[in-house]
Amino acid sequence: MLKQKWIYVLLCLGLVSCSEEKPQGTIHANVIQPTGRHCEYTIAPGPITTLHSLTDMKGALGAVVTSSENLGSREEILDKHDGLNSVDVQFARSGNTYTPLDMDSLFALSLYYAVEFGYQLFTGLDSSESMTKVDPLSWSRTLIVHEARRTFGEIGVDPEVTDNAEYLSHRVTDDSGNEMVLNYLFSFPTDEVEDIPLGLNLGIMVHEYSHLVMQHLFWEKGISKDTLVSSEKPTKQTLGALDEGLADYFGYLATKDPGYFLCSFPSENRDLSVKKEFTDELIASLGSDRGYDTHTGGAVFAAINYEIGQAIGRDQNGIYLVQLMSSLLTCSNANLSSDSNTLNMDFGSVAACHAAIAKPEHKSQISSIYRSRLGSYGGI
Amino acid sequence: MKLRCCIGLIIVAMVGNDAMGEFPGPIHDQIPIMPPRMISYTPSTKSRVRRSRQRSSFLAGFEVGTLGQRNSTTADVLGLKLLLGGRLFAVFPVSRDLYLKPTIGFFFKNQDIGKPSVTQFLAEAGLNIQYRLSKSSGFTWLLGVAQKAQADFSRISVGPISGATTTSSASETSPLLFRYRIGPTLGFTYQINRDLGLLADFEVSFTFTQPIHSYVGLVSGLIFKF
Repeated sequence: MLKQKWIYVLLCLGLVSCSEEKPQGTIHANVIQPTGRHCEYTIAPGPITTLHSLTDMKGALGAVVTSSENLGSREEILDKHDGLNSVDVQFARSGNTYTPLDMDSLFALSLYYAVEFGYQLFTGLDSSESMTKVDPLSWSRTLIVHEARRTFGEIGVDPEVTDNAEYLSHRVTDDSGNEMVLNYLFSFPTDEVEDIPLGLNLGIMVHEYSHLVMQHLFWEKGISKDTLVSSEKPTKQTLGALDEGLADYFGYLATKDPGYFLCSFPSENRDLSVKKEFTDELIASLGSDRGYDTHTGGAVFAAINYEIGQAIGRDQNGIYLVQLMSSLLTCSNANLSSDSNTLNMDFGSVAACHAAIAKPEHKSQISSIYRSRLGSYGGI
Repeated sequence: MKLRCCIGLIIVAMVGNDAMGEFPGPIHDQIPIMPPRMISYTPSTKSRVRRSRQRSSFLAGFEVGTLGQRNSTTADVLGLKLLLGGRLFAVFPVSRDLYLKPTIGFFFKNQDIGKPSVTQFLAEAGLNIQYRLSKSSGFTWLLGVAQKAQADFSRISVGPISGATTTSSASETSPLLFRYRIGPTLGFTYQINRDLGLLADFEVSFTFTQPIHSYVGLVSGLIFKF
């Protein structure tokens, strides 16, 4: 009798252990979330609707993976996802809420959550059909790389990237000869960051997701039309800074904290609530390759848009900025010459496009704020 | 997956049968009460043997060490994330060469990256079945099956962040995740004196849940005769 009891107990243990985590519908991820107050965080469940497998951290928006190799060491890694492996994850479940059991699981769940948060944010802001044209639900090959190993420069000579995050659009040609873009979102290892690692900073990962949206709403459109970027005006630098500035703003919309960047890098001048303007020095640097940093110009654009958001509503301005991404190529102020198909623009023309998109009741406020911050770019 | 589950259940059932082999009568009347090496130190005089059998003694002890969990991303050593902790155990002989070793254990690992930290806890209750392989040079080698029912939980905390408007921090304790793991174990005992011995156990075990997690345990400790 005693023997039978033990067998039943052991059989039950075996049965319990055969469950597999395939979420049905919306789950809630217990991750580190910003409260909206500056650099204040809580651990609270947030919804994820597109995840198909918690085991592989794979969903409609892509998959969370990791690599033991430097991503630039072999072409096959980025071209064919060769050598990229799923992250070892484990979660404890209560109802539909999943809590990570270790740091890698926290990162993996947070990264997917941030990407879906970005997707939901942009879907909610999009009042036109622009987002449906770049619906990331069709980009099932998007990869979110945890602890990404990558070198900006020569592998083995230059150090591997740490304390950073990146969006990479990687162009490949498939077996049928069709060209396509693979989306990568990298969360690099944390080395010196003492507060919130970038991969756990929702604002920063939504910032990177915003680059993905910009890539498909703007850059890919231009590439498909063989649009050239002029070298006569600071167009290339302006577009780079615009990309960064837009991303900074959408990161703010995700966190409701204009200083979310400082939660990872306290000494950076990336607080959107600190007023900034295009100084002569900055405008000069935008016109040359020397000493130019896209993030600096982007921070100014983001701060200006924070002011605009305060005036007309931050989400309303977010709607305009999504439209700006989508219409930048065709905006008359972009000086896209029909004969050369070459794009010429600076932040003055960007501001003019922004104001042109806005509803009549917002145009004057937007123009007024830009005028006060554009410096020698002039009025609009 | 189903096949793996079935195999798992069969193994569990087989292990259960072995562990519960039919041993007529009180165990202590028929088989040595100590691991083989310790028995070899028992004086052979009749009176001492009689006294030994009359004592209702049992073997128990503790082990400390590490439980390595396979982790491909942030491993401590050899692809393993190391949890530290220990176990309490008892040893019950069920035949001349076969021993049951119930254990309870607790392991943990804290990981900090910046202000966020995750402390992983693993509480386990197990029943090892060990077979005496050999006895030589003071060592008794044991091979067997380690099986554990484990409950995992974690505590996630964050903050306070530099430059934040508040100095508050947040933390959350996860619910329990129950899992079962099983695998081979190899160990030895070495008797220090009549009532005290050293032992060490090495085990490799696997959970049945997806994703399958593998564990490598390496613990050592002391075994006492009570």
